[in-house]
Parts: sequence; structure tokens; C-alpha cells
Amino acid sequence: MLDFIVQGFVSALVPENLLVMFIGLLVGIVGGMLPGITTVTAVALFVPFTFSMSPEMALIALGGVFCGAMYGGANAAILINTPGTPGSIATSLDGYPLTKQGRAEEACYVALLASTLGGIFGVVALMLFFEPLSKVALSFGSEAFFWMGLFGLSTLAAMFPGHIAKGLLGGAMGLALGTVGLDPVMGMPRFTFDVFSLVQGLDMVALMIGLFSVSQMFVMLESNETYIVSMARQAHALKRALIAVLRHLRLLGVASAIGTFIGALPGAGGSVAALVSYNEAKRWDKNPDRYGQGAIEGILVPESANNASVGGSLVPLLSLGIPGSAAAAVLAGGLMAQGLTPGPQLMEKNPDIAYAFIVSMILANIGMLFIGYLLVRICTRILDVPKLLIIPAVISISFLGAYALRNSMFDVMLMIVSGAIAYVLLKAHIMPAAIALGLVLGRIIEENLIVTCYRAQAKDSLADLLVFSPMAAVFMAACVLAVIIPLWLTHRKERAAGIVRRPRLSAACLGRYDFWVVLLITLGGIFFFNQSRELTGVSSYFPQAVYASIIGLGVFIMGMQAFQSAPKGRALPSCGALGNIGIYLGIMVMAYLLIEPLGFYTALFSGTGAMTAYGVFGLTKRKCDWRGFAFVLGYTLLLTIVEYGCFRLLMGVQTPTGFLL
Amino acid sequence: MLRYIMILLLALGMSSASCLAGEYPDKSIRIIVPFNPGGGGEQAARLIEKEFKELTGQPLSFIYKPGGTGLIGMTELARQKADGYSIGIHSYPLLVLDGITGRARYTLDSFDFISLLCLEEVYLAVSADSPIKSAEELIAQARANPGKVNLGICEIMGPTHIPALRLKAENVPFNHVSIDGAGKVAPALLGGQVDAAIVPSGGVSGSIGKMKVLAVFSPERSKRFPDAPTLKELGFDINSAVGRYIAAPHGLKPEQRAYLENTFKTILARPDVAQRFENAGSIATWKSGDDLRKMFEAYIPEGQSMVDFYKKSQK
Repeated sequence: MLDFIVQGFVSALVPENLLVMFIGLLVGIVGGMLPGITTVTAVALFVPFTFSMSPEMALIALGGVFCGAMYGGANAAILINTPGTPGSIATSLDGYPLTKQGRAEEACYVALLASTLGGIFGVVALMLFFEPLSKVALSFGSEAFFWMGLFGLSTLAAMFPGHIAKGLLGGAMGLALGTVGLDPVMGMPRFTFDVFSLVQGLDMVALMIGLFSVSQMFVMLESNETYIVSMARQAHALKRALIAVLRHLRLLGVASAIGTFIGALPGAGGSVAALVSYNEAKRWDKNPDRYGQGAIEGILVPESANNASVGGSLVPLLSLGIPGSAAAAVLAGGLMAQGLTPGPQLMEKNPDIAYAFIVSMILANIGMLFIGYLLVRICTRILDVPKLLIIPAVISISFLGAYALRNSMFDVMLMIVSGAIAYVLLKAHIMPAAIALGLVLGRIIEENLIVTCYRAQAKDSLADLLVFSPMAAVFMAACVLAVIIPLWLTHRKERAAGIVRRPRLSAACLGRYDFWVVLLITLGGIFFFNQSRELTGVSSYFPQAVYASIIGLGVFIMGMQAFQSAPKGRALPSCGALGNIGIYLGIMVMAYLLIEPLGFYTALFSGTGAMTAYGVFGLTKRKCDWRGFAFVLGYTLLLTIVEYGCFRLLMGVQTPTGFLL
Repeated sequence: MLRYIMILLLALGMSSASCLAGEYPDKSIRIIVPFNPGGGGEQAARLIEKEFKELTGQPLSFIYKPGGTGLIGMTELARQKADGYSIGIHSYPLLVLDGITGRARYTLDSFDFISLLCLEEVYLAVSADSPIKSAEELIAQARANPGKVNLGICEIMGPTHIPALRLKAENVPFNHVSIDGAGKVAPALLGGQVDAAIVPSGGVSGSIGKMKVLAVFSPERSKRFPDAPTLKELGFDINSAVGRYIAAPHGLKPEQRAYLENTFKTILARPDVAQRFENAGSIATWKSGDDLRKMFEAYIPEGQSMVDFYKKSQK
């Protein structure tokens, strides 16, 4: 094996191979930063470019894209709170607060270092523990997957301190969104109202862009500050980041180990790895309250875990020919186009190629350090750009990102609508991250629940398999603890502070904004629960459970509020700010309507121009002279050209053309 | 002003894609994959993608529309313009069954079929370390413990579910565990979550080495597993195969259709391509669109009886 490793190093270090690796990394990192280009999309879009290459070179390039995209999401998550890939949702929880504290650069460097180290950890673990990892991953049955999914959800209870029930409610809403469309086993339509676009299901990527990117832009519109952060740039960011990483090496190792393991499970990828490890870190921390307020560990842990999952996801690919994640699946497709069969045969017949690939992943992680460093230098400059110029840019990229994966105009509309709704929910403390977690995990939970039910038919009772099998019991206990511990901690803290609750029914809740939002959600839950009663057989179990829990949580939250005398809801944004948000939303809808007649880029150009002009002339009161006009036009044009270059020329995304481009 | 800008942008765009009208095809061809990225449907298309670009000068651009074992993607394909720039790849015999169950809005007439690309064998398999040695043993076990032996299948109403249903009709009562896709059935089989499984050869090409193929659902024995008997030898007249083929929305120009048909024929005739398919566990097989359609029509009676049987067994 050692000689293959050495050989692998030699062939990976060939200049051409290094070059394609760097190109792959660059495409991956940039793609990962853009909303809508997830790791899967980035790898899929790059596959055609590898055909002219030798198998070895193609794999090295694709490996670079894979690693890069997994990391790339972090920068956007940290700097503007818009996770570019599902894998970096957890990163935004602490990353954006750090940016707000003026520690953006440090946070970005920590993410980079953690990604690199996590990535190397994953690949080394792949080489050393290949056999045992593949065995353990196989013993993970559907009942274990089901509980792992629920466990991931139960962590929501701890994610938003003070809003435990709302965190869970958000998660349930995410699960509910995931049930729209055809059910995963029978293929029966659910909640589709005979609309074909709904039968297709709500695309996760489009929803995520709406939930994070669009709603975050609305939040930015609330305040009058010119920049995202008003703090001065911090000095010695790289040194601080290095020290932070060195101080938490053990934590990083644990997070990477979790990431590698979850990556090795067929069907769970970087996003699950990042979220689970984030929560474990928080749970075992002496002072868990720091998380979510800008803890360096909150970046270090998920970023190392998601990059470690890359190495892990190659375990099932190389041992069984079964990809551990969707991105690994596309990688396998690229392999096959080269005439290679992923699986044990690859290791036996072409060990030189297999090892060159594995070793190149280590090099790719090191290369990522350099490219990442340069990109952090460039990207953190975004904080020097006035907010009102960032907003149109992010929104127009969101349009392209929502469209790119499925080439569907419905997804663009979905992105706009979900962005608006997410903002409404966000103001009621139902956070996008909770909904996104439900979305990510819903499919895993439902599919494995149904498979477990099928399997249990051969046994005498469902409980034997779902509750009493060893794997299930462990995870179930963890779930229960994950919900109870935060409740107990809150209770203890309140007692220590001498707060004695004397529940008394009062009408004060009627004056609370979030009360009405929760009421609406509950009513919606009741409506859809009734709808789901028309479903039959296995496809009805999961939606019924989900809507029942939405109703239950909603009633619980409203009940608690009814017994609180003093409303403690956050102040709502001013009418002026709401008006501005309305105007931006209106421009987005206009741009959407213009796509058909004018063509995608022309519509985007006009929409971006309108938003920029409104921001520059309307909100910052710049004089509306020809220089101002030229500035707006130039900026919009530049944005459109860059977007065209990235999406059309680099990634090859086709967009509808109308009268113009 | 805006027009000049657009002209400038257009000029930029020219460098990558020539926008001038020319001979077909003069721009990239969208291929709708009605399965998840990396799934079996994509595989066959990826295997010929390289040659397709070489021959036509245009790349295939992949659009994923997964859901309902191909229902979503094929509905989408049927709605596309029949301009030769939208094609789709699908699995035989799913489309025919969609028409019979009536769950789809499309029929065979909604499409112009272009070419069959490959065929995959369907196996009855257990894990390599399973105590079960032969198909007879497995069947005897299923009969001795009705409904207690788990059999993994890869979809509902498709090439692995139908043979399972037919076995059930022949009084081999396995408990069917439907798991979404061969990629998930294989780990369930190897991890012992199901006792046996019916799998298509392409979907398990990487993991087949860790399985024991007990029987083949083909009229003749498999070249890859000559020791495994056919179901006919075991006394059951049950055959099944997965075919991957290219289709386009109905109304394609005859010359475009002929062009595409010939392109795929040329690609599949190449020995290196055939080898690539073999590595991926399937057999490169070209069939013209008309033959393909005849094949589908011939399948309707059998499909009908299976759908009826399934509906009856659900009650």
C-alpha cells in the first residue's frame, strides 16, 4: 500500500495534474460561495470538462471541486449570513455574529484552517480505517437512520436558547415543506392540488436560497447603517485564527471524526455532518450559551466536520460502488464516463489511479489553503462595500442560483415567496436554520421510517425493530436527552436567578406579533392535517405525524404566551423599513415577470438596476445627476457580466432567452 | 443604450456558443434525467456523453428532474418543445407501466423514441456471507415462513417489483421491502437489513462482488454469472430486464430524429464504449426508436396483468 501512496504523490504532483486541481478548487470554492450552486451542482457542472482528460487527471480535478465547494460555502455564511451550500448552515449560526463583532476575517481564516485540517483528517481516515469504516457504515440500518434524523432535529431544541418550542416548530415546518410532491416510496402525490409544479416537489435549493439569502437581504434593509458592520477591521486576524485553531485541536479532531463517520454512511452528507457535530460540541461545552453569539468553536466544528465528510463519503464509493452523498454520486458518474467502475474493482484493477486520487485530495486540501487565503482577502472586502450595493448583487445571484439546478421558473418564484415568508417568520423568532434543518432531514426520516415499517412486517411487531434494537435505543435516548436537557437548564437558570413564574391568564398575548404568526401556522397545520387524512397507506404516516406536531407545538406556544403577562417580543421594524422591503420585493416580482418576455439576463439587468438605483438615489439620497446614473448603470452592467461569466460561461447553465438574452 | 450593451454581451456570449443558426445541432442539447444525480438513469447517459460531444460537436447538458420513479422527469419532457434540443433518458419498462396504472398524464404517443442504449440483467441475490446457498433454498425458506423473509426491491411497479409480484403469484411469499433505488438496496442487503434482494445489474455494479447471485431473470443464463440458473430452470417463467433508452417529445423532425438515432448507433458500435458499459454492469444494445416502440407495445398485456395483480393484492 505504501508504494501506491508514494506513487500517488508522484503522479498527483505532475504539473498538469496540479494545474487542473487548482482550477477545480477555484471552481468549487467560487461555486460553493454562490447561493444555489451546492456541492452537487458544482461537481455535476464540472464533469463535462473532464472528458478530454486522462482518468487520473479527471479524478484529481473533480476531487478538487468537491473539496473546494464543501469549503466555499463558509465565506458567504460568515460574511453575509447566506450559507451557499446546505453544509454551511451551521457555520452561519456563529459566523455572522462574529462578523457583526468585527471579527469577520478571523472567522473566515478559522473556517479555512478548519476545513483544510478536517479535509485532511477525512482523507487520512479513509486510508487508514477503510475496512472498519465500511463495515460499520453497513450495519447502520433504516431504523438507525430514522433515529439519526430525529436526533438531528431534536438538536433544534438547543439551537435557539429561549425559543425551544419555536425551534422545534420551525423544524416541523421544514419537514412539512418536504412532504409536498410525490411520496418517496409509492410515488403518490401529496398536497399538490393538481398543480404540476407542486407535483415536482419544492426544490430544497430554491427554498434554501429564499430562506437564507433573500430574507437576510430584507433584514439588512431594516437599519439605516451604510455598511454591514460598523466596526473597524481587526489586526492580526490570521495569527488569531491560527491560535484559536491550535487551542482547539482536540475539538477539531472529534468534529472531524464525527464528520468522517457521517460521511461514510450512505445517504447522509456534509450538511448532516456539520449540524450534528455543531450540536455535539455545544452540548459538551462548559458554557453552551456562547454558541450562537459568536463562538469561534461554532465555525471550527461544522467546517472541519463537513470537509471531513468528503473523505468519509468515498468509503462506500470505493468499498461498494455506492456513493455516500449526492456529490459523491456525481463523482462516480464522472468516473464511469472514463470507463472506470467505482467500487472494490477500482482498488484492485487500478490501484494507481485510486491512490493518485486519494492522495491528491490531501494535496487539494493543502492547495485550498492558498486559494482560500487569497479569496478570504478578496471576499472580506465585501464588508467595505455599502450594503445597498450588496443587496442587489445577492438578489440577482439568487435568481440565477434558484434557476440553475432544475431550469425551472417555478423555482425562481418559490425562492421569492419563501424569502418573503421566511422574513415574516424570522421576525417571530422562527429561524430559517430550523426550517432548513427540517428540509434537509425530512427525506431521510420519512424514507427510513417507511422502510423500517416494511421490514417490520416480517417481524412480529414494529416496536421490536424501531425501539428495541440496540442502535435505535441509543439514538432514541440521545433524542430524549437532547430535548430535555435544554429545558432543564433553562429551568435551573431561572430558579437560580430567583425568577418565580406565577402563571396568570392575560390578554397581553393578543398584542404580540409572534402570537398571531403562530396562530396562523397552527391554523395552516389544522388545514393540512385534514388534507393528509385523505391520503392512504404508508404515504400518510409521516405527513400526519408532522402536521399533528405542528398543531401541538403551535397550541403549546400560544398557551405559554397566554399565561405571560408582559410581552417580550422584539420591536418590529419601522414602517419606512417595511416599505423599503416591500419595494425591493416588488422589484423582484417585476424582474421575475420580465424574464419570459425579455430573457433571463435582461430581466436580471433591469431588476438589479432598479434596486441599485432605488438604493443609491432613494435611500442614500445621492443626487440624481448623470454621474450617479453612470455609476448605477456601470455597477449593474458589471454585475450582470460577472454573473453571465460565472453561470453561463464557467458553469454552462442555460437560461431562457426572450426578446433579448 | 441598452441595446448596445446587449449587443456587447451577445458578442461575449459568442465566444462560447455560436448563436448563428446553422446545421442541427448548433447548440447544446438538454437531456432530462428523471432520477437523482448519480442514479442509474444518469449513468448510461454519462457513459456516452464524451462520444456524443465528439460526434455532434455539442455537449449534453444534464437537467435532473427526479421523483416518482421517473414520472416527474418524463412529464416535464413531454411538455418540452420538439425542436431536437430536449431529449430524455428513461428506464424500460417504467414508462409503459405509468400508462397502464393511469398515474401519468402522458402516453406512449407523447414521445418520439430514439434509441435503446443498453440492457441490464436483473438478479435475485443475497449477501456473499449469507448462509443461503441457492435459489431453491431461498424459495423453500420463503415458503416455509410466509411473509417472514425480507426481499429488497428497488421501486414500486418496476423491473424489480414485478418479478417479486410474480413470484408471490407463484406462491413464493416474500415480504417485499421497497427501498428507493438500487444504490440504497445494496447496502441494506450487505448490512443484513433484508435477507435477499432483486437488483438490476447496473445499479449494483460496484457491490456485486460482495453478493451471491442466486438466479437470473432472463431467458438465458448470464454470461457474467454462468452458474446462476434462470428462473425458468427453477420452474418459474419470469423474465425481467432494465433497458435505458433515449426519448424526445413527440413531433420531432424526421431528419433530426434520424440524426440522433444514427449518432447513438455509431457511438454504441464502438468497442471501447461497449467495454465501458460492461464495466458498469450492463450490455450496450442499440435498437431503433421504432423497434423500441414495438417492444413497449408488446409489453402492455403483461404489464396490465401485473398492475391488476398488484391492485388486487393491495386490497
